[in-house]
Amino acid sequence: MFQLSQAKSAQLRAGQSLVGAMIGVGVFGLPFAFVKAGFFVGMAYLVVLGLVVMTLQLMMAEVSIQTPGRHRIAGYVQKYFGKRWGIASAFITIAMAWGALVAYVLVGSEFLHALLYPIIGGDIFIYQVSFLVIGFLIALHGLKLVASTEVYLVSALILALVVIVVRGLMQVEVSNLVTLDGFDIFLPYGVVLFSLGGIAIVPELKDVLGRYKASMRTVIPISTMLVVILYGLFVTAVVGVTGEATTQEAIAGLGTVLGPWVLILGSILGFLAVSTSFLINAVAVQDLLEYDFGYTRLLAWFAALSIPTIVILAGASNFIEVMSFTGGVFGGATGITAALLYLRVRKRYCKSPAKCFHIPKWMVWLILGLFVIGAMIEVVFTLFH
Amino acid sequence: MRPLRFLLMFAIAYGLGISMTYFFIFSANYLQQSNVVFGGLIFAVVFTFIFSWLYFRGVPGLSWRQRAEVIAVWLGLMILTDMLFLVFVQGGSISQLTFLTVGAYALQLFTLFTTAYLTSGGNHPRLASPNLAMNQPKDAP
Repeated sequence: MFQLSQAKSAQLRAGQSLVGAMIGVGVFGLPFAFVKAGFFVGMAYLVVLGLVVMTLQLMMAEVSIQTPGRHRIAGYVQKYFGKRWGIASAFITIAMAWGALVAYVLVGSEFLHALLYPIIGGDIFIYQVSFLVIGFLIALHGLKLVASTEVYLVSALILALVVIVVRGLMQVEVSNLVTLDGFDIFLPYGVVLFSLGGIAIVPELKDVLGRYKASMRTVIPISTMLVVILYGLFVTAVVGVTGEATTQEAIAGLGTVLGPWVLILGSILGFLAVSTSFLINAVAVQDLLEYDFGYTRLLAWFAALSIPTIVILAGASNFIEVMSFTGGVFGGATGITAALLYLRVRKRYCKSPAKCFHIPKWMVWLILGLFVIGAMIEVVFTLFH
Repeated sequence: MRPLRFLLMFAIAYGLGISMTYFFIFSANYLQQSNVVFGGLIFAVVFTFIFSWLYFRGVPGLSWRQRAEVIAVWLGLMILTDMLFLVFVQGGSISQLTFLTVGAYALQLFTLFTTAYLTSGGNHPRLASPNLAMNQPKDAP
C-alpha cells in the first residue's frame, strides 16, 4: 500500500489548505476582466501578480515561522507595531471580507438565477435578497457542517474547472484570444489580486505543518504556481471559446457554446462553492468582532451583515467592479501589511541572510510602491469611472 | 443572548408593523385623509414595545451593555428591512427617506430603550447627582 511520510502528508495537507483558500469566486471574474483589457495584458497581470503574491506569502510565512505563538495577521501587526495598528489591520481584514461577501452574493445569485430561472422565473434582485437573507440566517446559527464540507466542495469546484478547461481547450479559436472588447487596461489588477487572495491562511499553515513548518518555503511556491496555472488555463479556455461574448461570471457564455451541461455543472458547483465561502467569511468576520473586539454575537452578526446589505441596496450589481475595488484596495493593503511585517521581522530575527527567506530590500519597497499606487489608481478609477 | 428568540420577536413585530402600515396607507388613500397614515406608525411602535418586551423578559441576566447592543441591532435591522422594502417592493431609493422617517426611528429607539429599562429589574445605569455636601471643600467658610 502506498503510504506518504509524515512530512509529505503534512505538506500535502498544507498545500491543499492554501490552494483551497486561494481558489474561489474570483476565478469566475477573470475571463471577463481579461477580455476587457486584452487577453495577453490580462495574462501578464496574472503572471506578474502571481509572482508578487507568492513573494508576499513567503514573507508572511517567514513572519509566522520566526514569531513564537499563534496569531492571525492582525495579531502579528499588534505585536510588532502596537495596538492601534493592530486594530487598523483588523479593519482591513473585515473590509476585505465585506467586499468578498458582496461579491459572493452577486455571483451566487447569478448562479442561482441561471439554474432556477427556467423553472420558477423571477428577477435577479429576488435571488440576491434570498441569498443574503438565508446566508446570514445560517451564519448566525454557526456552521460546523459547512466548514467540514468546504474541502470537498472546493475539490469538486477544482474538478469542475478542470473538466471545463479540458472540454473548452478542444474548441479554442485563436482569433478569440486576440479580440479586444474595450481597452480597460487597469481592470484585471484588482480582479487578479482578489482571485489570488489567500494570504490570511498562511499563519494557519504553521499549525498544519507542525514541526515541519520550515517546509512552508516549498509548499507556498508550488501551491501558488498550481493556482496560477489553473487560472491561466481556465481563462484561456473560456476566452478562447467565447471571445467577446464572455459573460461576467464566465459560465453562462460558455454554456451557450459548449452546451447546457457546462451551465448546469458550473452553476451548481459554483453556487455551492460560493455559498460555503460566503458562510465561512461571514462567520470569520463575526468571530473577529466577537473574540477580538468583545462585541456580543448578535452585534457581530449584524455588523457582518449590514455593510454588504447596504452596498447591494445602494445599487452594486457589477461583481467585477466589486472584486476589482476590494482586491485593489484592501488586497493591496493586506499586501502592504505583510511586506511591512516582513521588514520588521527580518530586522529583528534574521541576522544572517541564510537563516530566513531573503529578498533584496529594494524589491520589498518596489512591491510596497506597486500596492500603494495600485490602491490609489483603483480608488480614482472607481470614483471617476 | 438567544439570537433565534431575538430574530423571532423582531420578525413578528416587523411583520405585524408593516402590515398595519400598509393597511393604514390604503385606508388613508381610500378615506382621502392623510393623517390616517400615522395610525400605522402608532401600531408599529406598539408592536415594537410588546415584542421587544417579550424578548427582554425572556432573556434574563442581560447586562446593560448587552441590552444596548440588542437595541442597536433591532433598530439597524429595522432600517435595513425598511430599505429592502423601499428598494425592492416600492421600487424607490434610499434618498426617499425623509425627516419624518428619522422621527419615526427616533420614536422606535425611545420605545426600545423604554422596554430595556423596564425589564432590567433595576440593573441599569442611574443619573446620580453628585453629593455636594460630601464633596464640599474643607477650607470652605
